[in-house]
Order: sequence, then C-alpha cells, then structure tokens
Amino acid sequence: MLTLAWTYLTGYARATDPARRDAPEWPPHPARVWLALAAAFFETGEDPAEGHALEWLRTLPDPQVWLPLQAGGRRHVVTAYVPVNDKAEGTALLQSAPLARSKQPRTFPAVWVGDRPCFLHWPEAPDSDRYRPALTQLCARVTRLGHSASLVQMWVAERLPTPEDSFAGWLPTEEADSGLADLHLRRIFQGPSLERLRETFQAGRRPLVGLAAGYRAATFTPPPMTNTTAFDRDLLVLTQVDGPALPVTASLQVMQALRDTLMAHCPQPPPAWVSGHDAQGQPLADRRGHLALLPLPFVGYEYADGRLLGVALAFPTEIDRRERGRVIRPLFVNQQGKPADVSLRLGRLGVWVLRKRAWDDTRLTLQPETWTAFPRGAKRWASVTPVVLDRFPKANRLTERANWEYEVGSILFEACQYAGLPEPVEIDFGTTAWTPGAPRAIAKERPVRGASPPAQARLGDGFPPYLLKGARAAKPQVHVFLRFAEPVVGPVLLGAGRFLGYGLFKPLDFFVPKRS
Amino acid sequence: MTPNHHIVLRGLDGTTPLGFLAALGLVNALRECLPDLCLAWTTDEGGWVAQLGSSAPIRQADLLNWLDKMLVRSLDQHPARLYEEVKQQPGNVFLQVRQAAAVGHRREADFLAAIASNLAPAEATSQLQTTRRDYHVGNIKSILGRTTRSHLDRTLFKPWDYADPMDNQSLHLDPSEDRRHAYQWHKPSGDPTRRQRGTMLGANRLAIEAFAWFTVWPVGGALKTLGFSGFGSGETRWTWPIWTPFVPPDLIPSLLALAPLQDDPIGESDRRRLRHMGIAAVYRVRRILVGKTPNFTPARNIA
Repeated sequence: MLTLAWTYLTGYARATDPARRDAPEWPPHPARVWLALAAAFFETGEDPAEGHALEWLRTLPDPQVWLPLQAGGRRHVVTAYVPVNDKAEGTALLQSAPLARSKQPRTFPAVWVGDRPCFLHWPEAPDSDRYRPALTQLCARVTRLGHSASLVQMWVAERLPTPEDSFAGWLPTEEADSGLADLHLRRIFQGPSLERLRETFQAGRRPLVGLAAGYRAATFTPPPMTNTTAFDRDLLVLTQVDGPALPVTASLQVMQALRDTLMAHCPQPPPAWVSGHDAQGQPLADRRGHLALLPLPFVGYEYADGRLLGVALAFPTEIDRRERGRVIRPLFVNQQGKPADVSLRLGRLGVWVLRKRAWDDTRLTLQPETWTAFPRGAKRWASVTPVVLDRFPKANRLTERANWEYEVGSILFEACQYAGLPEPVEIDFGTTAWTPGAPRAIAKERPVRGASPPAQARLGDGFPPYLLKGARAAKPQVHVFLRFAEPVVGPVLLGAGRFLGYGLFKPLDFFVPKRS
Repeated sequence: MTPNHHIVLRGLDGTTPLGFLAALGLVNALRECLPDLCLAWTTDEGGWVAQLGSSAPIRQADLLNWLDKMLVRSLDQHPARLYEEVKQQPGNVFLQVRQAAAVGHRREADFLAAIASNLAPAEATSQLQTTRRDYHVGNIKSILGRTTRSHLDRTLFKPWDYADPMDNQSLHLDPSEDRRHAYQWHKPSGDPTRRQRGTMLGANRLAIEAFAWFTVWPVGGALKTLGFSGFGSGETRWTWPIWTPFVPPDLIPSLLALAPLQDDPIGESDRRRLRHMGIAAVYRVRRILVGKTPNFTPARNIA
C-alpha cells in the first residue's frame, strides 16, 4: 500500500485544464502529481534513488484519488490583461516602461480546496517499503502542483481517509470498462519516462501525457443499523441557474410552482406517488408516502444568509429508480439526454430557472449529504423551515402555557413516529431557529398606530403561514430541535407542510469545514 | 486481422491531431507499396502511438525509401493543386475529376471530395483546414517542396522535437501552435522563433496525404467535414477513435464516421459498443479561433 498526500498551502489549486485555457483542472490528474515529483527530482540534484522510485511509480496500476468533500469549488474565471514582455534594446526602450507596455488577455483558473489534504492511494504497491524513503525525501521537495502559484506541501501518508471523514473517492475502473467511466484522468502508468522528460525539457517543450484512465466515484452503502426515514436519501438536487435571489421564506411559493410544473409535465394522469392523491382525488391514506419537495437554503454556516440555492426532490423509498426516471425524465432531461432547464413562474418574484446539479458543483448546500447526514447519520437535527403542527393544540398558548407546550411536544412526538423516525430522546421548539441563517418560524406583526382601517406591520423576517386549502386559520408553526439516541440518516421532514418544503431539518453534527 | 510483421512508429502519437493525421496520411501514402497494409495503435510513454502492419517485413529504411518514392515534391503532381483549379473553374474541375476517376484510380476524386463541393460556395472550406485561406496553398507548396527524408525519419521514429521552422510551412494542425501573446515571450506576429522551430515538417507532409479521408458535404452554405460536429468558433469539435486491432485502410473511413463519436457525452451503451469494436479510446479537440486564426485545442480523452 502506498499513499501520497498533499495540501494546497493557499487553499486554492491553480492548474489549467490542458484542453481549455479558461477552465481549471479538477480533480487533479495523477500524471500531474507524478510530473510535479519529477520536476522536484530534476531541480534538486537527481538523486538516483528518487529516480528509481519515480520509475517504479510508473509501473503501478492507476491509483485511487481521494479529495475533501468540499473541495473543487470553482471561482468565476475572469480574463486578466497582463503586460507582455518588454524589449530591452533598440528603439523599443520606451516600450519597456510599465505603463507603455501592451497588455494581453489570459486567464488564471483556480478551484477552492481548503486546508484539508488530497490523496493518491495505491492499495497494491509491492516493494513500497523499498521506495518509501526516497519518495518521502522527494515529496518533501515538491513545492507546487500545477501553476507556480499553486503551492503545496506533499508527503507520504500513513493512512487513507474514508467517506466518514468527509472525503470523496474516485476509483479507477477496470481496463475493459474504462470507456464507461464518469471521468478520465491522465495516468502515471505507461506515462513518459524520466529520459523522455529530459529530452522534452531539452527541446524546450512541455511534457505531453495523452493516456488517460477511466474513473468512477466511490459509492458506499450505509451501515445496516443506521435509522432512516420514509424518504430515500438519494435526493435529486436542482440548482438555480437563473432568476432572482430569493430568501428561504419564499420556499412555499417556489415549491408550489415546482409541484405544479412537475404535475403538468409528468405522464398523465400523474401517479399517486407524485400527486399525493389516489385515483378518486382523495389524499393518500394507509401511510403511503409521496414525493416531497425540499428548498435548499444557504443556512447553518457562519455567514449564511438564508438564500435559496436550489431545491431537491425526495422520493418515497418504495418507488424504484426506473419508475422515478420514467416520471420525472420528461421535465428534467432534454431530447439529447442532457439536463434541461426548468422554468418556474413565481408571479411578482419573477422567473426561476433550475437545472439538475452538475456532479462537480461542490457547494455544500447543494450536496444531498448535507441534508441527509449520509453515511454516518446524525443524532441532533434542527428545523430550517418551520414545522407546521398536524393539528391545533387544545390548550391556549397564552393562558395555559405549560399545557400548550406539553401538547405541542406530543404532536411533534407523534409526527416523528408518523415519519418513520425513531423516538427522539429530546424535543425542543420555539419561534427562533437553531440553525444560523434560518428566519423565525412565523413573521411577527404589530398593529400600525393610527392606521385606518387597522393594519398590521411585519417585524423582522419570518416564514409566511402555511394555510391549508379550505382552512380558515393557519395551524401553529414552530422551529424544532430533535435529538435521537442513535444516528439517523435523513432527509428528515416533519409536520403538515413536509411535502412542500416546510418542516425540513438539517443535521447539526454534520461535518462543517473550518474556515481558514 | 493480425499481420505477420509490424513496426511501431514512436513519433506518431494519436492523442494529438497532427500525430493522428500523420498516421492516416502514412497509410494512405503506402497502401500501394505494402501488401495487406493495416494500422493499429499501441501505448507508449504516455501516448497512443501508431503501429503499421503488413504481410511483408517492414524496416525503417524501407519505409523511408517507399515514402521517398511515393511522396511527390511538386504541387503540380499532387492533388492539392485542385485547391487553385477548383476556384478558377469549379464546374469543369468537378466534371474532369469525376470522369477521370476509376476504382483503382480515385486519389484526385477523394482529395477533391475532401476540399470542396459543387453544391457549396467556392469560399467554403473544410473544417480540417486551419491555416488562413490566403496562406493555405502556399504552405502546402512549401511543405511538399521542403520535406526531406530526415524530416520523415524524425517524424516517424522519434519523439517529436518540433525543431522545424513554422514560417510558411505549417498547416497549423498542432495545438502547440496556439501562440497567444500573454502565454509566450514574443509577439505572435513577427515572432523570430517561428523561423527557427515550432513544428514537425514531416508530420505536416504526411497529414496532407490524410486529407482525402475527410470528405466534406454542404450544409447551409458551409462545408461539414467527416468526424466534425457543430459550426462556429466555439462549437466546432473533431472527434476521432483510437483502435487497437489492426485495421485495413478501407475500414478507416468507417471508423472515422462512427455516429456515436459525435455525441456529447457519448452514451454508456455506445461506449460499450465502441469498446467491443476494438476502440480503446476516443479523443476530441475543439476548433477555436485565436485572433483570426483557427486552432485546435489539446485533445481530451472522452471515452
């Protein structure tokens, strides 16, 4: 076994995709790592032991690539205009003055990685003990990976991270299946020899590695004892690609528009698991679940502003994938098989355009694991959107506070049972959210003094009431904190509004990357 | 088919557009010299290099001798003269070439079908043409006249050193000829290093022989080229396969024309089918405009 690790000292990986000058290369290609080692070898005296170690690496099969889950956040690539080289002689002296030099366009693509390491891992590396000292020495001499501003620290690691550590793995496919891979990364195996690199360098050229190996994302199944809910953890995430920035308090409008669009574009009549109604138009009984729509707001972090970044579809676990694809494909996939744009008309709020999340979109808010806590599960969960109580408490909140609280607790306890969750060991609730960035459960209002006719003014932010069709008054809605004895894998959705985005929970003990 | 003899051409790297074209051009040039000639690709030092197979032994020196014999030096003797002729008398040229063509003698007809169409405007060019229109024929003339045995030797059997001057003798088919000012020392126009190094003359010479594989057809006033998809500077892409079984020359156009190669992305079932056909990799370049000059981007392995 052999594992090479490195961290990007500035938090950014700066390497240009060889096929596009305006795009960063991510994930890092194994050949690029090997070439960085080779550069260090040539620049630091060409120790023969290091040379043998590099040639030995070329004989190993393709390595696994392990990257921090939050890595790969792309920055918008802007075109910079850089001064060209000056001319030192002749009549061009004036041109050498910085202000007189022309500027030409170029780009500096980069991706955000953070301070966590990246890994290349060879599970089978015979003779690794023999070459480890030379590799350790060589790794310590590597200063950059990619562009000269992409400073790294590299070492031979003793341990490989796991998905439980919030790392994502890319595994090489079998040779025969490499054409079926999700990703092609330039390979070390069968790559250019040190002698070829020397010749290339002497000819004043950069090395060319055209051979690539196919890679697929590592997949994992949850531990068998982990508790799950009635919804499948495999969320279909849609990201906002156009339209106004909306606060999470607009969730209800967005979810309603998405539901209407979905109902209009799925095979007719809409299946019961989409509409939530049986053939007679009655709400599904016998505890059968149906499709839930989730808002995905930027909440739970230090600078979270509660803005909606996308939405997700949570499927009932009993609906198989083929059936899901059959029903939602007409809306979300175009005729070429690519993700299609879905436009939602939101009245005065404008038009929102959604598209299926790209695999390399690394925003945490848009990753299913952020909302499901998969694979570890979480014991502590807090609502992001308010939980609408399934029924009105009989006690008066103002005059019988203790009874009211007891009753609300009981309703929430039953809601957990109804959602298929284990019994919580702690329930707390209130109007203020436990999650940073999430607004109050209900907007506060006060009477406007002297207004005629009498009017109410809103105080601060808060969610609008969830008014059921035909109801005269909205049921109480509260923010809720839940703690379970055992970890639970989500999505956790509770209360009367759980199919339209209300009652959405976020795990509180999910890994949150440290900000540097 | 498995040939009795084969030779690995370490210089012809199929992961670059110029290397791939040079390999096809070599096959086209030698198909009358070597019995049962066939082409396959094998891995070597980070690339897919060409290997030529035949039922007769192939030695380096013999290969160069045959090329000496087959590759003409004058534009008048090469079908590339049709570039000029088709501009002057398009109707006549198409008629004459068609009448002169026969089953065993179709070199000019194939070349003409790769550079022009009688159903498209005269100014429409093949998507494979990446030199400026006003320089193209002049560059071809220079390449035909200046290529020597040593250029071909370096191109075929050694890793490319790009030690040949680029000025007026490059077809601009190699991605390394994208010379944007911000990424290089000298201003691209008037760059003195162009007169010293930057291309592989032998590869350009062989690539000319490959043009005949890439038939064009008219689409909305422009010419579409076999193996390409899309139009416009940001949309045009060329995709080619790399195959590992030995394949005779007559089968190569079918491989270049495989429809799934043009899909983006190529579907999983199609990728599986390509694998079963012996296609080990698929490479794609974009045809972009750098200033006013078209250029190929470095190839990306897409399947």
